[in-house]
Amino acid sequence: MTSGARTARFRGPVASARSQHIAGAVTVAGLCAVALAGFITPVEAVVFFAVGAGAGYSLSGSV
Amino acid sequence: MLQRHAGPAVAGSYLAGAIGGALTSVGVLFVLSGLLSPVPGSARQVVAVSMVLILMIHALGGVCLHLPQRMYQIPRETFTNGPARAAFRFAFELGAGVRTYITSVSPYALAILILLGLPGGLGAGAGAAGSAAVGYGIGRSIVVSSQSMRPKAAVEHPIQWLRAADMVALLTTLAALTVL
Repeated sequence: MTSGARTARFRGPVASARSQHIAGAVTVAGLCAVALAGFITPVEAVVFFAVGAGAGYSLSGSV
Repeated sequence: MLQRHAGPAVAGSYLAGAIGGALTSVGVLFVLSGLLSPVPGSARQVVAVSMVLILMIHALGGVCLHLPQRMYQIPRETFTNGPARAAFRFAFELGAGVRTYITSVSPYALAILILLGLPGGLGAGAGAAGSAAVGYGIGRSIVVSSQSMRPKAAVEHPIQWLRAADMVALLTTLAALTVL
């Protein structure tokens, strides 16, 4: 993915593999944090938000 | 459509479209969940947990299921308008998820959660379903939104992190069905 001059979806110089992994890791860590917060707080909707966000993000490979 | 860097207007349209599409599909599921409300809660829970466990086994490669999906790409006519409007229509179709491929497992788990695992009471149920839809739309737009903030370098999110998010969503669904 990072070896070519362009990605399949976005034009321009490709960010380093490290940046791409950091972006993915930060997003997944955020999802985990929101999910945990949903179980800690009494607001059930937060858990549903986390599930929705995770499901939506998991499909992002086919933007 | 997204071969150029998405500007804020396009990214915003994309986000609005994804949330709108998700709200539409979740609204239908919410109505269906209401129709299933006469079924005892314990029975709904057992069915939902079983289905999510099967989905997890599928996601881990233990079984190969043919999950329902429309195996078509979103038609070209969607992109005939200006960039912002095209982004909205494209993302609406992606958010609704009924006219294109579904390439991961957790959206099915989300549908099961909404159908069979919404909290009791109209307000709490609607709030949870709405939150799930907004979350889905935001999650679906993260790559495009983050790309709009990086005008000089193209940042893709590696597939292993998308798969990790899929598993996180599946585990969260399972926990929600058993704990909440």
